[in-house]
Amino acid sequence: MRFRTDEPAWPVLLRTGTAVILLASLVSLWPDYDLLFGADGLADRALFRLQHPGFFTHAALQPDAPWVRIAYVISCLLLARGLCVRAAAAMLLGLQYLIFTGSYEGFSYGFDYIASSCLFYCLLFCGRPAAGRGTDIGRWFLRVHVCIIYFFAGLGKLLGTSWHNGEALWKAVVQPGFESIFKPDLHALGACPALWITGGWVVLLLEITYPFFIWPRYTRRAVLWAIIGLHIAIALLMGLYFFSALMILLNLAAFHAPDIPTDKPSDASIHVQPNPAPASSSETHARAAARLSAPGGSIRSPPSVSL
Amino acid sequence: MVSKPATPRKALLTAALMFHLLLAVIYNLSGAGLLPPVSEGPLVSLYGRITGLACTYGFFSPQVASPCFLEVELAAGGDTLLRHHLPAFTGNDAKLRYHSFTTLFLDLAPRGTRYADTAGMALRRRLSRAFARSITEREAKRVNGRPVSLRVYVYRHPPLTGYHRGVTPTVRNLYTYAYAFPDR
Repeated sequence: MRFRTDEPAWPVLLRTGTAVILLASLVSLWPDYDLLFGADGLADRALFRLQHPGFFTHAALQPDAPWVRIAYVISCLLLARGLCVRAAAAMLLGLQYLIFTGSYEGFSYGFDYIASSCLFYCLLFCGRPAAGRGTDIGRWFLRVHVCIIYFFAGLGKLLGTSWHNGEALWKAVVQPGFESIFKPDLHALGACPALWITGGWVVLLLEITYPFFIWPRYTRRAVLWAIIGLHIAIALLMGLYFFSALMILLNLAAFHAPDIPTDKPSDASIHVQPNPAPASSSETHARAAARLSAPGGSIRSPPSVSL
Repeated sequence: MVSKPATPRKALLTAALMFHLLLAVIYNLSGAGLLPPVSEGPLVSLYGRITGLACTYGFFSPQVASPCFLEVELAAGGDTLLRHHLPAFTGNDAKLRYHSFTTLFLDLAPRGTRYADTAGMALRRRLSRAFARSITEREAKRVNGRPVSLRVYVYRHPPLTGYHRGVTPTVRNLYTYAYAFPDR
């Protein structure tokens, strides 16, 4: 991915990645959209309102209104391209609520809520008007938010017993309901309960200790690799493709992408460390050094942090 | 090094974000049962859903829910009955959403087999039955008014401890609803 603005890399990564993932999820949902959210869909809309009343009741503000999907697609494209970023993020937040987390809460799952959280940070900290202003605070809050997500995901698993004895992992991976294009038959591994017990504890410990080991630089890289590996496994074994992609994106935006602006439009990449040699990059380094020595600089990643 | 004083705008933003994260923590402590349930006012509810905080992050915990299946049986003339599982989605994302939706039918499980009986359980059970009836009636409309009956099953996968001893999966009927259009 290349960054062509003077924004720090992490907001660009966050808004571009969020927009692409949301667009892909809508495209995936498109053929079944009316069956889920249409007036003649699977179940009576009034019943969904009993689950959660929703804020929008006007007929033009229903998920199956013709403008809704068009506005969603346009907003994703604008957000990905970096045009009218705040307006696009605000529109997408409203549409997420309108379609998924508001009136049709029953059809929503973790992905929708995490996506809304990403859009919330896009609204506040992405976009050219915000470039270079307040983004360090934004990144710190994004990091804390990601830590909250993992800590409570781990805490929930710690409070029950099914993740301790391997039953939860066994059920999550093997029972029907979560299909994927790559899902080997793992029933044979049922003969080896120790594997599932170990797997359950690994997931639990990885999540609950995430906030403690992701901040120190010497453990960050290992934790990032481990958590990305976990999400790849979730995508492959449970078919939660978009959810996994979004969580990987959050991790990369919060803890991996450098937070110095990349001034060289053609060569800059989040995976390329700033080149110390060429004279043309000296200005970038002077700016980076100034930023790192500024108050609050300790919360940023060093420019050389990479996976 | 002299630190710059925070501008009012920055201080306001920081305070707002602190509140934002505090709300996330409260939602999650409540979701984990470590705090009483959050009594949401309309504004907090709206804010929580718009910003994505209303979701607690205890994914697949404290245990993984068993999946529910809806089976439709419709009269196809004479003594013939056709059975199929609802519904035929094309994409993976729709299947995941449907799977998430069907977990509400777990509330129809008999007392003692449910994971938790909360204060709103009676209402949730009525709502689950209303959803089942609505789905049946819509299915009857789609098949031109032929009598339709719907069965809600919960699937129980054999536990890890029993699987290698030959325990097989079981299904349990949670609810049945038959619907026929009134005579015209």
